[in-house]
Amino acid sequence: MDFAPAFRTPVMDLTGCLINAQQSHRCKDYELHFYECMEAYGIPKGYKKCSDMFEDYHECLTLGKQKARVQAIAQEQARQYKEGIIPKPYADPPKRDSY
Amino acid sequence: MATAAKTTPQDLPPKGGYGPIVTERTKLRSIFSGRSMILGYFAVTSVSFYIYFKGYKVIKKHEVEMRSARMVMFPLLLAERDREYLKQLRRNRDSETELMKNVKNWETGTYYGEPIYKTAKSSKLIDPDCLEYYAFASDKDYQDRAEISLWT
Repeated sequence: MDFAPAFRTPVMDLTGCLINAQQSHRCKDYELHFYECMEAYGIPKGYKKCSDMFEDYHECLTLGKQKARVQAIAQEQARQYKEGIIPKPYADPPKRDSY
Repeated sequence: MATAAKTTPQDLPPKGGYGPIVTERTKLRSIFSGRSMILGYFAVTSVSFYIYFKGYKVIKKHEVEMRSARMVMFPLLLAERDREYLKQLRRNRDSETELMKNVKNWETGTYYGEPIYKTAKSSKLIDPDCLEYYAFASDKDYQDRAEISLWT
């Protein structure tokens, strides 16, 4: 990222590259996208311009929205089953070994 | 002594005394001579090697056959799995549309109208989490299978 440390040591150069998402097949593109954006705009502007990319990167790492979606769906399913709109509480599960 | 009269008499050597002690070597009955033992060893070994290599060839052939069969089968099974995965994604999407049609602000594939990834192209397939893949199934089904799927 664009942050420069207040003082540098050789250890920082050695270990700075270790903690990132570049080994993750899913998130590496989002991370790189965000870092490139921050590098292009710098600190004050980058916070505004790159917020979308940051949110995407964050979402990829935490899966927050995807899990919230599952919760919302489960709640709606339970509600509809309670009120008798749908006959079964759950749908049939996916086939085995398909995930 | 008073008790000596009750005891039996001491053991004595047999009549005529003990025989002489045998100190000469007694030869064993020899079935094979040294020469025939070595010749028999080579005969048995060569016959066994012949039989062993016959079996070795058969087993190698079988291994090659099975390996080729697996190589042919693997892409098919992989493709079938991917196909079933995509089909299930469609089924999930349709169930979501059907289930959430009356929920306010809900669009399929989003969280209350908010896209999951803002910068991703709309054509990009967003792989669901395992939990999201089983969103419509029961918890029991998920737990039965997630254990295995997350370990592999």
